[in-house]
Amino acid sequence: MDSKIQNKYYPMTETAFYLLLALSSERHGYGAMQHIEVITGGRLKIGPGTVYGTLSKMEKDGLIQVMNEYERRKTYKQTLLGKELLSLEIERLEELVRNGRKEKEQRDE
Amino acid sequence: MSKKTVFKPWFGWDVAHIETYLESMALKGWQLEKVSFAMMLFRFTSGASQKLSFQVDFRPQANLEYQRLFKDDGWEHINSSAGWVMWAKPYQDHRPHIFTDNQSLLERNRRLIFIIILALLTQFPAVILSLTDSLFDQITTGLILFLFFYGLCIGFLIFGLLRLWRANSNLRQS
Repeated sequence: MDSKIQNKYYPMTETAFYLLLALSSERHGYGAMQHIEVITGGRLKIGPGTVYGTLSKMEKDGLIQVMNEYERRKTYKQTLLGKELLSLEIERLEELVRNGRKEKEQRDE
Repeated sequence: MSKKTVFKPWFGWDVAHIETYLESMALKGWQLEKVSFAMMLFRFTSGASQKLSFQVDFRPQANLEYQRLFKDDGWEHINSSAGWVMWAKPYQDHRPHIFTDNQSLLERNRRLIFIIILALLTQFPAVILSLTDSLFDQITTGLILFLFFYGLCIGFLIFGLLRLWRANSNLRQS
């Protein structure tokens, strides 16, 4: 894996994480925005300027690829590299949660 | 129904200024009818009060996909001029933003910084040519006036550049 690209997405911003996660299935930008809003219970509404910029960057870096285009909407899906980087980030987040919980349990005892 | 036209200059390093102004006008019932003169001349008609979020992007290469994404999300395209794109969206409680993280604001400023640096760099050949030329043999009022306004323009660009750099360093720290 290109270490420069890996460093850029490790740790990942919340925006990049959720967009990449949403693109586990083929979706267009707006579809990804809606999906993210739903799975976060309305907490995370990513603005279109941020979505457009992040998708262009992730496409250039090879994390996602264009699958289709209809009515000026491009659909994207994560690539193998994207999937790998997402797994790395999930592992990192799991570690955060694990350590956070352990600390809390010790405090509560 | 009354109308009014307002000349309101604003600067790329402080887009919040024009965004809040237009929002306050819409709230007072002044509906934006036409934008012209490099997005500095605004024509309003009086009507019902509206809660609108105005947002400005700098995107010299805005394509159709970009436009589609904003429109799908309920943003109305107000105007585009020299790389600037203005959007508006009605809202109730939470004011919507087109940029929802610092990274994308940093990048918008960087796109503008790039254009300003390009504009400044293209001045070099002109400056060098005029120094080697006999342009300065005779100092005329016209020449002095020209140099004055030329210097003013360059100074304006450099000032903008410094403001954008400062804005970005603040964004990186927050």
